[in-house]
Amino acid sequence: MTARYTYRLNYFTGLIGAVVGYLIGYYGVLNFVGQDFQEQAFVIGWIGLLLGWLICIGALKYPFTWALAMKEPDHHEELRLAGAGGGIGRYFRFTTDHKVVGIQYLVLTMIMLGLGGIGAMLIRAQLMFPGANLFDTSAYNTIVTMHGMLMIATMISIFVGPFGNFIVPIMVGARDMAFPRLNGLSFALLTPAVVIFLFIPFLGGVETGWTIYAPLADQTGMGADAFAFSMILAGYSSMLGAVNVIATIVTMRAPGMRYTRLPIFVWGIMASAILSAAGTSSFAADLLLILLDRLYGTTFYLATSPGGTTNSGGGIAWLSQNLFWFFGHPEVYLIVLPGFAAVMEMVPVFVRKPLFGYKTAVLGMMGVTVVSFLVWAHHEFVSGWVPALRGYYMTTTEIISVPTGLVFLVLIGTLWRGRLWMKLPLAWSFAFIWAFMIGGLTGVYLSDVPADIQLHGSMFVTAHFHYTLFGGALMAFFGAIYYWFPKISGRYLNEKLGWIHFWGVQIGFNLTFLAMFYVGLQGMPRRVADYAPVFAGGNFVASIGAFIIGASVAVFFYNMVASWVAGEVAEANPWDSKTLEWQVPTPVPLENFEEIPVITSGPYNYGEPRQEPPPGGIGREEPAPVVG
Amino acid sequence: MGKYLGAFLTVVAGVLVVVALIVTLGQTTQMPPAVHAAAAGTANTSVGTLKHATVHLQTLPASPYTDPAWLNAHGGDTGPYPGPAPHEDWVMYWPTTDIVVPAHALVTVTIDNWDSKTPLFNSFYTIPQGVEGGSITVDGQQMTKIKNDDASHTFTIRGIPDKNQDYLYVSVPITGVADSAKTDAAGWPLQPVVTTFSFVTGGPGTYVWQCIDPCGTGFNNFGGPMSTRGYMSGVMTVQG
Amino acid sequence: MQNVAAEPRHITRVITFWAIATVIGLAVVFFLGPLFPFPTTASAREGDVNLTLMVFTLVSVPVFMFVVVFAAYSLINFRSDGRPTEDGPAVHGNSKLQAGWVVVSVVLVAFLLGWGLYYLYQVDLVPQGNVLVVDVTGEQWNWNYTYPQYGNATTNVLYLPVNRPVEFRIGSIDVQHSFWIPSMGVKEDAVPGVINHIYVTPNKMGTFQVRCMELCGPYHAYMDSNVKVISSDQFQSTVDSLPTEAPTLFPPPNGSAS
Repeated sequence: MTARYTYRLNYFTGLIGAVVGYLIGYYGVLNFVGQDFQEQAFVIGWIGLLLGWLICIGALKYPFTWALAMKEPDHHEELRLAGAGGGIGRYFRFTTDHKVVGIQYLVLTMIMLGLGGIGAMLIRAQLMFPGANLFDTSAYNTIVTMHGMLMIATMISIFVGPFGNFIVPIMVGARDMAFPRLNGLSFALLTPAVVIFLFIPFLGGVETGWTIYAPLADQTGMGADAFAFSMILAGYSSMLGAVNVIATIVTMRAPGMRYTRLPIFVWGIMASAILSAAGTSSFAADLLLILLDRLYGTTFYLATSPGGTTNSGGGIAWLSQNLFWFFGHPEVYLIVLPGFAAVMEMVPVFVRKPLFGYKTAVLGMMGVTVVSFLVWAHHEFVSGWVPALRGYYMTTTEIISVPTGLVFLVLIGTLWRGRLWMKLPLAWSFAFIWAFMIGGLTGVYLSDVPADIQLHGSMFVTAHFHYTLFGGALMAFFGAIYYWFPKISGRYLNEKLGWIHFWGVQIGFNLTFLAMFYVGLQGMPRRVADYAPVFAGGNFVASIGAFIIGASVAVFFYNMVASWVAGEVAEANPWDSKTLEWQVPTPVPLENFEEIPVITSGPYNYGEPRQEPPPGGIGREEPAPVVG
Repeated sequence: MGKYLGAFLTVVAGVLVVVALIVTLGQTTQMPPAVHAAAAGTANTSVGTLKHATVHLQTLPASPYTDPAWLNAHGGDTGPYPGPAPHEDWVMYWPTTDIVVPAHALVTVTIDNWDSKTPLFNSFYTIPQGVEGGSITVDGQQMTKIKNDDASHTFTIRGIPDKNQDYLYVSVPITGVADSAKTDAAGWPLQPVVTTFSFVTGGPGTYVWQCIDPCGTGFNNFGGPMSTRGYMSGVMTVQG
Repeated sequence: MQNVAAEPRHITRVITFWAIATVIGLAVVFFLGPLFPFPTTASAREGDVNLTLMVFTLVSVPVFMFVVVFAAYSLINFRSDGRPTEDGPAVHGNSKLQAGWVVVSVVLVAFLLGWGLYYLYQVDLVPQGNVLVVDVTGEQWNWNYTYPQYGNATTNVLYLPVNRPVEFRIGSIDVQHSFWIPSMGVKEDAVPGVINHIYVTPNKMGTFQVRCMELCGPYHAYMDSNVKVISSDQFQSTVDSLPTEAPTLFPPPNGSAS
């Protein structure tokens, strides 16, 4: 394959390759192995889809040419692969430019958010009144499962994808990520994962909830295979991206960018990456074992063999819970730590004050990262798994609230006596404080074993994790996108629509999930298609709130699209921030910096006498006197 | 002004997408029409004289479109399913699993079972519960319990306590066709095993019923038709 | 221009607001809390859970008010009109405040942990005396209850005599379910292949609900059943009238309840 030929490859050729690969795999199995192997045919078809996609977008070209000792690309070719001289076409192909990959991630995660959000609207429409009115229970359970997993997959990638890719390399003073081709590959794994995930409704659904516990996972429809396969892919996408991010932050910082001068957002992304790299394999293992149980009759999770209680299968359902939650708990911190860090990044800029307790913030986030691996069985307090260990897990879970609380100290200290510039990023930061406070406190209730015995599996848990994940991470994301949109797209997001979005979400979100706490305490289970009339009032209010959220997020999506196309043009540093990404022009040049700058202080030295940039511009200075 | 219009139209588009999904995935468009119990005068019951209504159902080993001889002998292509159901090889209740019965009535259900035997996992369900007189009739013989090995399906109405409707819990085992019975060309028996039972309904309400015999596919044979409404489980509405 | 003299004024004001908000919050929780429509309490365990929820809420009120009041005060008082013309004070941290925060958090966590461990110990205590053993079988999508001490009498409505300790042995025929009686504060998963144990003493007569709390298939939402707590005499006569069916999952109970 000549270099020029490769540059013709793009996502459209990849799509054709994916379809061809799928058909080869699917019909190959049916024709050559047997007509009875329908489920296996789908899985092999998806492997074909993945390979066809990767080959036909050119993601595998370099490993292939390297392995065959063919001529390696020169710098000019690398720049072409990164999109030099390309117009809009470079967004529709495999690329190594971290900025393009960041935008690709942004678009994909917004699509996933929209799909997950539609699922939420369907759920709340069903639960608006008692009686299983709109969907029958199997369809409803599938919708619940899909909403949950789509949202989790969205939230895993929503910071590391767009911002970890676009912003973080510039923030640390690098020209690109440490492994640019791996970066493109991470994205190229996530797209087919979403596509395969959307096979689920057409395959009979999957009725297990996103936690996909066995043995129900072994019994439910063929959608479970699509779920497992696609999430293994998404997990690897996340892990490869995490490795890339960690390598970039550790090895490619600009001279003078000591760890104590890193913007706090970078610390948050690094914490999230560590959690992803260390924990996601457990989820992949869980899903792989489910596939094996379903397709090949293994009994990893089955204490009794299928068909009755006579023969022992030798497995145990608890294994499913443990493998899942060993990943599942670090995973929720993976989602929320970049949210903390984004808020801590934005607040100093909009209150013109240094971050209060930078080292405390870092220690807090790193403390959470480490302890999050020690707490997972608090999801299993009522499962009967080793009751003697419940005291231990209660202890670690309560301990993790201490480093988490440090983040609030940092935020309150930063806000105190600042000069608050009430723009949308700061508004979302306040919303974060309110929502994560409630989410965190209700988590303490759930960490207490006797209270958890009463509350586990009820809508109280659902409200708790929506307050932490939506109120914590997603609201922080909304703030971050209003903050960084001018740098990524060169335009401002429309402010009036932004305030409509903000207030709509605040009103809708609090209505929905406070009502959900209420019905949870009253005793309503979660994941139910129908409920007793005593829960009707709370559910009605929750549904109204959810529709308000849906409308507000629709406004936000319109705002993103319309502003990108025709919004007010932004200058290079509209918020007068001190981090490196705002010191480069907008649109950001292909290699980010003309010359890599030398860093002489942290980015939060507000309130100190300004250093005038030396003649000749940033990057060509003599080391300035150390300030701050 | 243009931006507000654009935002509003986006919201409207979202609403349309949600509504379209509700219509295409929702149950309003998926299930065949319900079967209504036929009025049959009055009857004496343990709680006095009540209206009497009858329901006739069949349990089949597969879709009847796989056995045209059977289909022709039993009403032809006039059932509420306009064509073969999506899963031809799944066991199913016929003609539908949505049943409407009158309130405060004695309902007599006759189930013709054309399917073979599958022992229950929980022999508690060999005992009929909630039935009038405490017994059922199997091929003319009155029984208060069947042998676990003879079970083929059950008809179990979930009471669903805690709703604003009367508690109604009925569970009846359906006896299976013997393995030695004569079969037709498609492997279906020539004669069904007929189970008849009666129960008294209370006030209006909606109840879910299921089969609790492991006659499905997948793990523990509770997957496939056992986990899909329209085959081995459905809704019973008590009306009026 | 930093107005350092204004600092103590702000601090006193916000602390005052905090104190007022905390008092109001505590009063609301303390007086309105018991009015919350929890499920009817039918055992001491459930009473303990409600007490725990009340105490944890009371403890969180000052913490919650601290964050919310300080944030709101900052929002109202330190707001700038449009883009700020100058920066705020260059305060990078306050080691006494940071250390104090950690100490207070640890103290609070220690209290909550002590409380929790004490009640966890209570929950795990095996009752002595005339314990009724009930074998709970979860299957898709029904609960059955068997009384092994009464010749394996089996029912789908759970009958319990009032004021007698009960040991539930919980098992599942197929997938994971979770057995929960909201009014009694007992919940334990029904995991295929194992038997889980949980104990409670119902102390109130009446009809309550059992709910399944682990998604187990299409009819998970309907996997409810009734619990009828009745007097001991009624219990004896009820159990005598039940059919007896040997359950498939459970070993016979030995002499003691454990």
